[in-house]
Amino acid sequence: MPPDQPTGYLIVSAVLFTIGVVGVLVRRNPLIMFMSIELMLNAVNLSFMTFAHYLDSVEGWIFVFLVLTVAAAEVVVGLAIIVSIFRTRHNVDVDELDSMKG
Amino acid sequence: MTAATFAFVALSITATLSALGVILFRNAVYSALSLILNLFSLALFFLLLNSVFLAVVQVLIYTGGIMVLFLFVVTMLAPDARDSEQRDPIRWQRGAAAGLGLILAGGICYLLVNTVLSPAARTTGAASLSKAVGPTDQSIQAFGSALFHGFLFPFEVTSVLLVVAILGALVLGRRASKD
Amino acid sequence: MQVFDLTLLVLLLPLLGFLILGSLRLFGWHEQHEAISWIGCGTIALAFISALISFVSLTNAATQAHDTVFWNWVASGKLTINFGLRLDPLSSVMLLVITGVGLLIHIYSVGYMHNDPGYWRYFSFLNFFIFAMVLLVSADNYLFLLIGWALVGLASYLLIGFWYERPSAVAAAKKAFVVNVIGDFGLMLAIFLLYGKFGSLGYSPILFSDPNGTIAAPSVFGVNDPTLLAITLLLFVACATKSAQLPLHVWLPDAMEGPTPVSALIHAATMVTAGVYLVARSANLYNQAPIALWVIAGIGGLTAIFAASIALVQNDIKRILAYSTISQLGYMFIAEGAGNYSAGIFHLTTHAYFKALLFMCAGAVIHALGGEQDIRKMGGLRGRLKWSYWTFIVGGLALAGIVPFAGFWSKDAILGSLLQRGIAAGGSLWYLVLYGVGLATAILTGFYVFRLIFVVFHGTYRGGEALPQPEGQANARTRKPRRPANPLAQVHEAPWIMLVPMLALAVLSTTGWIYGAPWFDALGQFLAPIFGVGFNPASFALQGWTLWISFGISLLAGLIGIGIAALMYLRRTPSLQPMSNIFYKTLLNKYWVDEVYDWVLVKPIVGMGRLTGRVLEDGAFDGGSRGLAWLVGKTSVGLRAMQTGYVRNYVLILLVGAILILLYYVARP
Repeated sequence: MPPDQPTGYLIVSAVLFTIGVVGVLVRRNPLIMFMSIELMLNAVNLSFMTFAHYLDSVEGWIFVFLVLTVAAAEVVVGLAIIVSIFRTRHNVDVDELDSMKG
Repeated sequence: MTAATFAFVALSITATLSALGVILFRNAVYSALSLILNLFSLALFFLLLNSVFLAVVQVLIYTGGIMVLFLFVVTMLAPDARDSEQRDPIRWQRGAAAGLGLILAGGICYLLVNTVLSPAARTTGAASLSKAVGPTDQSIQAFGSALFHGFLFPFEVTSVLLVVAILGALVLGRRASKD
Repeated sequence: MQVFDLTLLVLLLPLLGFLILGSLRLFGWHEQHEAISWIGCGTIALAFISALISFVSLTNAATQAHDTVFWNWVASGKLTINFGLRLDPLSSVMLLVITGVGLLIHIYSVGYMHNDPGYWRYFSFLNFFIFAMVLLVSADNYLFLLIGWALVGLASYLLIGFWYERPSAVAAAKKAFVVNVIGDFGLMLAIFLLYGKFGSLGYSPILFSDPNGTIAAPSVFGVNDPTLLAITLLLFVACATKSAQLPLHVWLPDAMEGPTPVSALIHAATMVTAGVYLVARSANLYNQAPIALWVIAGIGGLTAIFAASIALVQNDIKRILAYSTISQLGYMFIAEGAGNYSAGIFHLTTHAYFKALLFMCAGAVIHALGGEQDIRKMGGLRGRLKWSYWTFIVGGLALAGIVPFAGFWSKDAILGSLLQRGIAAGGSLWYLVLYGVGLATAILTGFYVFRLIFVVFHGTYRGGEALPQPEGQANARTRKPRRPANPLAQVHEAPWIMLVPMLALAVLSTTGWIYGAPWFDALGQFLAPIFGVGFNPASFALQGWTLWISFGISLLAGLIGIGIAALMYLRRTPSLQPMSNIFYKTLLNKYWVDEVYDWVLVKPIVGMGRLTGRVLEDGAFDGGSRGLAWLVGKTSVGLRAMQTGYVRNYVLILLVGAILILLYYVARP
């Protein structure tokens, strides 16, 4: 059985979240950025589950369920956008979208 | 060391390494595969945390649906793009990202470590929306009851959201009309 | 018998004329010269009649002063200022001179300004001037005196710059106004001091409230009290400015840029006499401050001889007469400085007659020659301009002080009283010095006025090369010459409308002295109450054979001047070439007073203005606001660096914000 305090799980969740954040900041391929965002969402899911377990509450599960659903919808739409922007290019680089500069 | 602890440690390592793999691989397909591994280990985490249903849902939806979609798009859009990631055009982006990342991780960990879940917190579940179920009942039935009784409205809204997303994907995926 | 006081009418009629004539432009009636002439002259004629009636009723009345308060203007705490008019001997005499001579000049102007497009403007300004001058002399408190003072300055500015398209006229008008402000300032300071001491500004409380006789000043001030000296000297600063005494006389010669009737009215007969009036009015104050009287007499004497010396060598008709005016005003101040206020007022009246006459004659000559004012280009005009010639002679004799003309009697009243004070028991050398100065000036006066007459009217005509169209002042603005065959053929005498006032003034110059003659000094007796309890005009009169000696000496002085002028200029071709010695140059350049002013005052002030403009305005104010704009610009450029356009940068900033919130929770205990 899992230990008494949720500390370990939460630290893992925090680390995964941070890795996701750094990934968004550092990578220029939009797909990998998107994957990093999914990583962040999952890290949060983990912490929700942890709390659900340690508070004996089912609400955490419901949150996870809903986050999952919304993440799915978001991926669909996000990928559609990425595809429509980068369809014709050879290099996918998010830094090319700098028309808001200045 | 108990089996649970061993499992936890192993899974933690797997999850962390695969997460690092997501952000560090040059090849986008490798990143996607890394992410699949990560999601899978998270599903196992869910199992450890006593939730079979959500573990399965995670594998099914996330790994099976979303990541497949990702792989489609990755392979479609220049999969082996040796994207010129040797040099970051924004000069101190990497350094700032690393630094801030460390601060973020440190801050969150600090806060979480100092969080002590008291036994009293466990009973706060009574003030929640899941009135239909007892606070200590963690089973699929409890989950279903909570979802369709207490959280019905969010559930319905989520379905609307899914419809909207599908429509959006349809619109965005169309080729630009040539006129 | 009650006093029939029509002063308000005298004040308001010209004002009405000004308003009516001034608004004619709005209705497009500004070309109706006949109507304008009738309105312009009619208001002054009615004003004169009203002044006459008031004067006559005053002479027969029991009380010699009649104050009427019309309206309480300021009632604020302890300060009460009323608008009131005072009819007393001094003001009624001044009113007669102003409206009488003013009327004659208005009639003369009908002919002189006949062709001028600004005819309506001219008459409205002239009426405005009369209004302002009447306000000045008939106000019953110092504040309204100041208002009238400023308004006559304004009228002078408007009329000097009447031909505003001429840059020289505009500059002269500005100069007159700017110098006048100095006088206004002195008057204002005096008023502040007076109010501080007396708590009121009316003539009654300040000058006439002592029940024992009519002096308030002794009860408030000791003799030569410093505050009183300040007041009287500040008042004299105002007088020196308005009456063109040294060193504030510089505006008057340039004021000749205005039309000649304006010079006659404002700068000979009336406005410049306001200073003399002010000193006479404040006689009670001056009686308590003998030092101030010495200052007045000294400056008057200095001015008299200074201006007369400049007039010796000038070549412009009007400038000679302008300097003559300055010199004669000096005489009036000598008289007042010696204590003989009534002689000063007497000379004021006779000077009004003959100086206005002289200016009118000069105007007739200028009019006949189509705008020429340089006497070197004139000569031999006495054949064609007979009336002008003889009236000029009358005026000139009056000015030079030849018996029986008015100038002789008034000038002798002044000189005689100086001699009397000088040789009487206990008399001081000061008066004899003043007497000497007065005599020398009389010689110079005779010289310059007859130099003028001989050069203009005798000899041969020297203006043949360039005789402009003889069409009147409208042409004076362009001064474009034309060459007729016989140079003098086009020269014609002035029309009757101009000659009649000239003749009237000639008659006055001949007979208008009777009221001031030494044996029955009606004027002196009439004015005596104004000048304080101790004032007795008879105390200035010489008795017996000393009187005849004084007559003889004055007459001789005038004749000597005329004789020297005749020797030098009464010939076919008098030498009018400028001499090269230093004295001549100094006189010709008016002792370089204007140049000194320019160097000492004008250049530093203009320089300071430029400096302030550069440093303060461009540097600090403009620079400050431009600097602020620059700062904002630079800041926005700096801030704009944040908008890189890269999504990842924006995420970074989001992260920074999130970390800040996190750290807040970490730091919170």
